Amino acid sequence: MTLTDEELVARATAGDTESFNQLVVRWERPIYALAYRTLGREEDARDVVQEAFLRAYRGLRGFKGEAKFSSWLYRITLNLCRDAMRRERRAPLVQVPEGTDPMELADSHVAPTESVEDLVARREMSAAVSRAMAELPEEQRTAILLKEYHGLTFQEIADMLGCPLSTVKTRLYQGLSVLRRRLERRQAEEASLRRATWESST
Amino acid sequence: MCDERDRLIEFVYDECDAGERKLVETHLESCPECRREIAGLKRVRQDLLAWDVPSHEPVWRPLAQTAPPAWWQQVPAWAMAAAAGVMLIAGAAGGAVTTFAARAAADPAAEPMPQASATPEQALPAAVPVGLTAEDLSAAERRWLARMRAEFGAVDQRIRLVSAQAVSHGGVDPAVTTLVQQVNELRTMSEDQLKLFLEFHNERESIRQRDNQRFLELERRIADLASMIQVAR
Repeated sequence: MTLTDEELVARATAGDTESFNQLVVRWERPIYALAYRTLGREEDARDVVQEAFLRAYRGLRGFKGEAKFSSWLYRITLNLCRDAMRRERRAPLVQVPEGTDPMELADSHVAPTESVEDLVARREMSAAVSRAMAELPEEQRTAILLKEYHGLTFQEIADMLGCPLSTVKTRLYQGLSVLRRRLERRQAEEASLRRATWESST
Repeated sequence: MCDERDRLIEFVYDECDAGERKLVETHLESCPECRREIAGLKRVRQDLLAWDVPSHEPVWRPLAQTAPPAWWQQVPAWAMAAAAGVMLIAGAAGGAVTTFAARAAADPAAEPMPQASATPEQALPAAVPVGLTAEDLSAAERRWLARMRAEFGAVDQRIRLVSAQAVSHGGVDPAVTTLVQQVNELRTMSEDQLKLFLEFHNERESIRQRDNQRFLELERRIADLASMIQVAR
């Protein structure tokens, strides 16, 4: 029988550490993904995940269930990310993905359905998105992260960030519009580069 | 409707009711500008899917089940109440433990780590000082990381310099051979540093784990004390 988050929280609060372990298994990947995409560095993301679960455990008795457990955990994570960025006084980093060399990729990739060329293109797009996101204002970036990668509703985001519903929609709209312009420009530049390469070779 | 961005974004994320959806769809039929806008937003959402998160090992190690009942839980109720009374007197005299217990009972998510001392029969590992906080550990980590990064950076810079010199010499030249030897030596040094770094990393994980367990044990003891005090009252 799979218990809900709230049931596991109740058991963990009563002292059942195994229930808390189950919550960690369930939520560690999303929390890590949120921290990584917010901070841009694996090491920092690991630190935040560790601290977020520690704080969650310590604060379980204070969790009254007004919001979902996951929303509460996301909020703790975002606060820790903000603290980390303030501490280091920096914007998110853009970590260069490993293995951009085609030969390395050929060795490393295992999915038989994806060619090396596709894999290279996907990695490049991943890096481009990461760069474009890092340049967004924090509030737009956070709204997009929570919506796109964690599937929160507008209302859940508004509750979590403590802002009106319309503000969430505006942040999403503005953020997506900026991203769109940047990514389209990048695609145009790539197309022009390919054309120039082709012309010089012929 | 072209100016109503809220409606468009609700449509893109499918967070509107059927009536709103129909309204937007009807508008799109006659507005190429909004059609382009919607298509662009959908395209960028598709692009966002490409952003990978590197795979990682689990960060949090499972918590151990709670230890067997403490000594005071195994003594008769009257003795427990007497012990709680002693604690209250200690608290009235200004004992810090009582203050922390009361605060922990009022707000379990309170930030500061209590500096309670361990009882002799449940002494904590000597390697982890009782007063060490998560902030201390983070600060120590940052210092270590800064040092390691500086070390790696210096070696890396030297490797790049020597490699650049080797390339500029070109051909078969005794100087090139010497430079290549130097590069190899530097690589060995770099590998040694990497091993050191990994040792540090493992040690840090271990300290963290012990610190977590220690903290949780402290929390449990404080909660126990708080309930003792409540019982006594």
